[in-house]
Amino acid sequence: MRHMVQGDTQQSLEGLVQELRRGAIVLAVLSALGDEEYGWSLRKALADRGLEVEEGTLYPLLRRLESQALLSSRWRVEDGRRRRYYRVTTEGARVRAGLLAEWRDLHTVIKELTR
Amino acid sequence: MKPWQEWIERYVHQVTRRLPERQRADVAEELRSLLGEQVEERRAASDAPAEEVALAIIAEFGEPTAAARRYAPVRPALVSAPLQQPLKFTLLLVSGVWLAFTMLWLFQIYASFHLLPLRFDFGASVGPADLIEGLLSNLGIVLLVFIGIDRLMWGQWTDEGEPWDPRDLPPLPVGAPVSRFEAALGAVFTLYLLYVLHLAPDAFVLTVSMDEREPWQLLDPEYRRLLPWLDLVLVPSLLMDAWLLWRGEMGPVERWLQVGLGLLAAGVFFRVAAGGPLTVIDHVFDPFLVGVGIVLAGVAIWRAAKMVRSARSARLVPRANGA
Repeated sequence: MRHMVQGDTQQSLEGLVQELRRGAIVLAVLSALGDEEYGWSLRKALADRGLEVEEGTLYPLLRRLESQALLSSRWRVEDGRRRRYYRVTTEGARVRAGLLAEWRDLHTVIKELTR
Repeated sequence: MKPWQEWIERYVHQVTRRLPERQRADVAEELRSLLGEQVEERRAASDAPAEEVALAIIAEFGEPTAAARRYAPVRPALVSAPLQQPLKFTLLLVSGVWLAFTMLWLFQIYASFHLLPLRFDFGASVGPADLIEGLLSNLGIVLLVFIGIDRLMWGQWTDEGEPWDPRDLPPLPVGAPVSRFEAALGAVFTLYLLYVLHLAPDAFVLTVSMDEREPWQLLDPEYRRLLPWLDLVLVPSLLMDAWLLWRGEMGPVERWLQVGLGLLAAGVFFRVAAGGPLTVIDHVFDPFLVGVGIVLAGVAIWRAAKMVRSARSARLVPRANGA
């Protein structure tokens, strides 16, 4: 679809796609964090499932979710490296369930609108 | 430090210096670990030199100001993170001046001082409610000025998606970063004092009296005899502030100069207190000058001792291999 639009329209589209992804990435991160993960491994896990997230977006997002008490973190030493591992908190799990329900409702609505 | 590590360090420094202080060490360590690991992983998969790989990874992460903004806490703030420290300093300074004048007022020494747009008016007719109102209005003016500066500089923060070259990252500072705003504030204040003392003592709107019917100028008519001593402190202070404003960091030379300036200022204050007259209330001002001199000398000696101790322990620690 991107090849069919040009110039300013392309720019608008990219901006809107970014906005769409922004909310989705939060849900994706909360969903992908099953056990403890650190930033790099989480990014790979998301990429393996088809969602490419830039490092400059993902790592600050993890911090932000932690500041909102949706994630907790701790430093661990592995392979001679100190890494910050994240996991979902109880509150994070509640928010994840809520977001997932919203996502499913939205999906149903959009599917209905685009029939 | 290997060249690719130097680039990573430069980038981490530029991102984290824009963050609130309590976040810096933690974010720096995490960024260093993540970026370093990415460099090693990509190098294992390609033949590209480590330096090029590091620069590519840094470029993908984003321009430092934009990256720092993504790390910044979501909660709203009146001014952006880089201005928060200078704001706190200025608010403390204004509160300190207000407190000093309140102390004079308590002793029924009435004074007024105007440093546009700030006003400190403490006369006999002033009551406690006026004191509080004065403090709040001065703090409010400072806040409005900083909010205005922040909004004027807003364009600096909105650089998402702008192309940038990581090779433009400045080298790591040798010394500790210095707030340019504080250096500028110090320079402006010192210039103001020099101007008033030399050229416009009557414009020095600080009137002091024991009762409001006969206001006096604070400076004694004979104060000019002490000007060479005051210049001995004020001129080097101004030069130091200008230098720090330009350089933006305080290295070992600057630290030793600061120690020297502190001792010099203490000596001059003792001399002025012992000689005089400087002000019409020297019976209050001289002990204050002596007290400030003792504090300045104490701080200077403490700083010097700390630097000597650091230098000694640095000599005792062997250099790490491969650094």
